[in-house]
Amino acid sequence: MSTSYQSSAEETAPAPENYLTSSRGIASWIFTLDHKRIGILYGVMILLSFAAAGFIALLIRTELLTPALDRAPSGDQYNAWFTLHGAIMVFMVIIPGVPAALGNFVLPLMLGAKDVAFPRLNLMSFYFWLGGAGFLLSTLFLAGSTKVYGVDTGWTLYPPHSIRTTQFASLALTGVFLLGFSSIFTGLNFIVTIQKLRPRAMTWFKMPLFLWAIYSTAVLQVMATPVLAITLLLLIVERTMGIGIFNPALGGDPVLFQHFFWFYSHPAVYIMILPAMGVVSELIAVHSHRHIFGYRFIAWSSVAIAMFSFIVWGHHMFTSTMSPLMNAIFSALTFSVSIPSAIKVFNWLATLYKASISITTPMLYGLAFIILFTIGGLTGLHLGTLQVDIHLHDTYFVVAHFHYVMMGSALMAMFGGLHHWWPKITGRTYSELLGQVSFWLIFIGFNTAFLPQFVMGSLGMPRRYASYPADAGFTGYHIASTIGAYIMAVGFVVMFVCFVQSLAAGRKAAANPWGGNSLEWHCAAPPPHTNFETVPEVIDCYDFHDWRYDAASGGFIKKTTAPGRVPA
Amino acid sequence: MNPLKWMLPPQKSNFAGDVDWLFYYITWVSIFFFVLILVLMIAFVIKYRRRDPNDPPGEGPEHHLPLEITWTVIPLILVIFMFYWGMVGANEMATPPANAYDIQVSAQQWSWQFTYPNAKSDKDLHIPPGQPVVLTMTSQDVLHAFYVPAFRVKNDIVPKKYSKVWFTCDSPGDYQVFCAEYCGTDHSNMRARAIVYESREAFEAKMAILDIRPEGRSLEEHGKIMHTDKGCAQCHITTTPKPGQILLAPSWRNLSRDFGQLREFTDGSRQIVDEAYVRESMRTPSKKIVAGFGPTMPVPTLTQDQEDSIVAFIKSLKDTPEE
Repeated sequence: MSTSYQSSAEETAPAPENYLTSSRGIASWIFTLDHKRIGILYGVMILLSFAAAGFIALLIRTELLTPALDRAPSGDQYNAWFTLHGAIMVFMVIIPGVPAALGNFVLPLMLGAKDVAFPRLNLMSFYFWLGGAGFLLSTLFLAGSTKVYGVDTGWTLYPPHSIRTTQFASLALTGVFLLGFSSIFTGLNFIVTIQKLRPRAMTWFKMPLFLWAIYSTAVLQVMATPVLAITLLLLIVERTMGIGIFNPALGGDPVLFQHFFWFYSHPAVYIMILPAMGVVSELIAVHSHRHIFGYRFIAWSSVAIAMFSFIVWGHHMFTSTMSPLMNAIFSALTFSVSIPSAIKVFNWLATLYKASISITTPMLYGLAFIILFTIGGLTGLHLGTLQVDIHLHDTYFVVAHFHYVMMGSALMAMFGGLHHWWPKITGRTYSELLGQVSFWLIFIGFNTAFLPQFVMGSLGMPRRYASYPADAGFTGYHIASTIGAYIMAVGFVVMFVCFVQSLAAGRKAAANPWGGNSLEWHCAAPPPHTNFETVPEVIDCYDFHDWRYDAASGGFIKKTTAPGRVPA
Repeated sequence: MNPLKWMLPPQKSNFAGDVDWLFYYITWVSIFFFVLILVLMIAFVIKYRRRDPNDPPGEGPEHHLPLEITWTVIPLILVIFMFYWGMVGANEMATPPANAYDIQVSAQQWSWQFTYPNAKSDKDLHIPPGQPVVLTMTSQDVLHAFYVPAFRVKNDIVPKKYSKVWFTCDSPGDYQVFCAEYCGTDHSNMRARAIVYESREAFEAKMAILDIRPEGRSLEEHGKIMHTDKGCAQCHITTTPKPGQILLAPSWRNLSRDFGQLREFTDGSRQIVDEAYVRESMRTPSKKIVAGFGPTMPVPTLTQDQEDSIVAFIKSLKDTPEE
């Protein structure tokens, strides 16, 4: 196999055709079946949604600067803010973030395939996402009788409140229902793609760890999301037809809803974190320039996490009036998830041992993931322990814990992956300086925002409060948290500038800027429409010995490339 | 001396010591592993940093089974202890003793009603010192949760279902009660006080005067106090609504002006506002819903005198100046 044509063609010949230039016009994008373009469509929409939900987070943090309800227009409007912030971030950003945006782009490349197994289903999944987002966001422009824009159910949609509320909850429910189907289609597509489109020589244990993570995630998406869909339908039926399922006033059981909801939404936490862990395995290995440590343990722990995640949903309900026996069972099962998570962290750490570590922007995100996920995971021990959870449940301790897991871990990995594959996706390099500045702003801002929330929570500050007692000692922590949120916002603005600058004036990127060896680094940047001209040879994707640094292109080239063919 | 003491509120119940001990144990384990991971990471990143782009790849080991087993087994042992102690403690919290003092709790959007064995009730929780107290709780509308950080107790409150919380408190004082389960518009203001008395006698003295209108207080005055004490004020304002103001329920000032006039209800029926209508609406709030509002009002627990006071207060609003 040879990849020399890429390196040699770069500076001498006119740029070869790639997926961005292979066809032109609006129609070539909105009807595209190319997994790379669909990945881009997802990526752009997800980043826009992230910006919107992030802006709402700033509104929330601004309201909480002072104990009184003085900045939000009303308590109801505040409630709608945190509902939308949560619903957009969970259903529109984090769940599709890594799999549908990055995964869509990278997965077929890593497999050496031309596309995913079902390109049309892939496009349909994107339009389901768009439709779901439309329904969910339409509530922003409709005010119910209380003159509040948005819905006030909380993203958890607990009845009876979600049934009694006068706002347009059914629209939001329909939106989440469609987003769920988008997720199911993506999962189904990726399972089949990984099962059937692997090159003959790529056995399961030769796959990049990112694919193990995506595969485990896809199984969760296909098996758990239908339960959410059914639950939402029941809720819509109850709201519109008055059939008693969850509302006690009609003979229903609101705790049953919580079981159904968390039966999906706990696996959903792993739908968010598993692909992120897959990204981190790639970041750590490639930027450490060393074979990943404990490949099989990392791979199997993904599968173990996916399996355990189905039987721990009750830990969201320790104070929901479940019986003490059920609580004890769910607490024990919950701790079982902590073990594979710990195994992953230790294996990443061991990968750094005797490595050759480049401190690049993606690597900073990878290392930050390990730190923040460790904090998020360890504080999960407090919440899994029954008696301690009773004190901490529904306080800011929980808010801090899940932000460390979802924002600090899942989104940090997503942004790490974005920087990692950016040169491959766009064919452009970005400013390492701007990348690192934005990373440090986000990392410092994040910790300033969420570390104080642990203490606030253990001191007793309940979550979802628009106002709080001035004499309980919460105010200082809230101020620190708000300052952190603003610092983070500045960091994201710098990141935006960095990417715009790269697109406008970035240098042409090398095909393999980091020295990685999984198959996506073997094709051109940006990849041609059909990805690979010939079926690439399958090798150990964590063995980096075949590549050497080439200063002229600013990336790595195969050692087998004849020196004369590369411009010096 | 405990360097982590600032992380938890003062210990004011029989459970607080156990909960805090377990919290500190888990926190110290967490700090140990966090520091270990952070220090190793920083050390590796410094020691094994890539100095030149032409450096060869790192040559560390690819796997090491004894190491994998070590970091699987040690955390496993540590979490088994967390699970066990947490379960034992939670079971104790779920099992009220036989001699506990019974208080009924009714939660509603967005106020509390605590009813004592003498059938009297109040918006605040009064607690006899040193005796176990068991709260039997139910909700009138949506989910709520009873939470007192100083006592470390919390449990959800579900409509048509009874849940319990119990504790013993020896320290006289005034503690914050929160609603910890999101319950809509005014969730963050659904707070009450938990007052622990100096002595049994002081507690009994308070019990004796609950729900009783003090000598010399007029019905109107008492009604005004009941307006806040019984939670009416969470939705019913006593001023003239400003243009564009969002109302959760009809203004009582408008109601007092409407006496003798027709009111229209959501089912299309109409009635002339009089005292009988006002009393009926307090006893069966969902029967006649004023057009433009929802059926959200819970049934208040009122003595005859309290009902009379509230009616008198409403009627008096027509002639009193706005505040």
